Amino acid sequence: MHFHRYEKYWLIFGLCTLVVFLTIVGVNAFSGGHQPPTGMMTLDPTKVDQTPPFDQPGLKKVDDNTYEANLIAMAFGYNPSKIEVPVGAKVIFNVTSKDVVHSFTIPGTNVNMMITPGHVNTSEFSFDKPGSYLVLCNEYCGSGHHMMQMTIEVK
Amino acid sequence: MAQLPHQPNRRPVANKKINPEENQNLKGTLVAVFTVGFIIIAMWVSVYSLFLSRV
Repeated sequence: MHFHRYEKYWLIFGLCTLVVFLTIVGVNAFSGGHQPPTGMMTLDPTKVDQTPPFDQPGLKKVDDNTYEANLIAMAFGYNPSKIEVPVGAKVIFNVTSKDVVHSFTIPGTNVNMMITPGHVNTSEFSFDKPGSYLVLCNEYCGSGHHMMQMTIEVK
Repeated sequence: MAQLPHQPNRRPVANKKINPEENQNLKGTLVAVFTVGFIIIAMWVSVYSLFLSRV
């Protein structure tokens, strides 16, 4: 098979960039623990209110600086609609949906995950700066989608 | 047409391979694809550094 000289340059360049991209992402995935939001837990979406930990939704202290936020997304809001965490706290969000597909997005952070009924999705974030963080749904979930929000107060 | 005696019958040379691609000037194409490549790299680097700044 014959290639033009310039075509060879382009192919080698393309292959090298691919190797560099995948190496950077791969090394950071293992060394920095970078991974997409993921959760293996499943539950019956019609029995969310009876299934622990969602029978008592809210913030739970795990250790000195780590909190677990078990939240329920529904049309058109989150339960609870407001949580308060201290500055510097690491929060592990476990979110599930009671009805349709929602999302859990904190703008300006890497927390952005899809919430599918029957599944629990998990993401974590360290709140190093105080302030009021808005949480939004960015999956169209119905007529009140634009009203769906909650706040995280970091004090 | 009658052949003149001093002019042999000219036929295309069959055993010599001529590759028309090698003679084309593809410098513009090379510059264009590398430009697109560097734009892709710049976008990838900016998006990835945005991700890293938010970790």
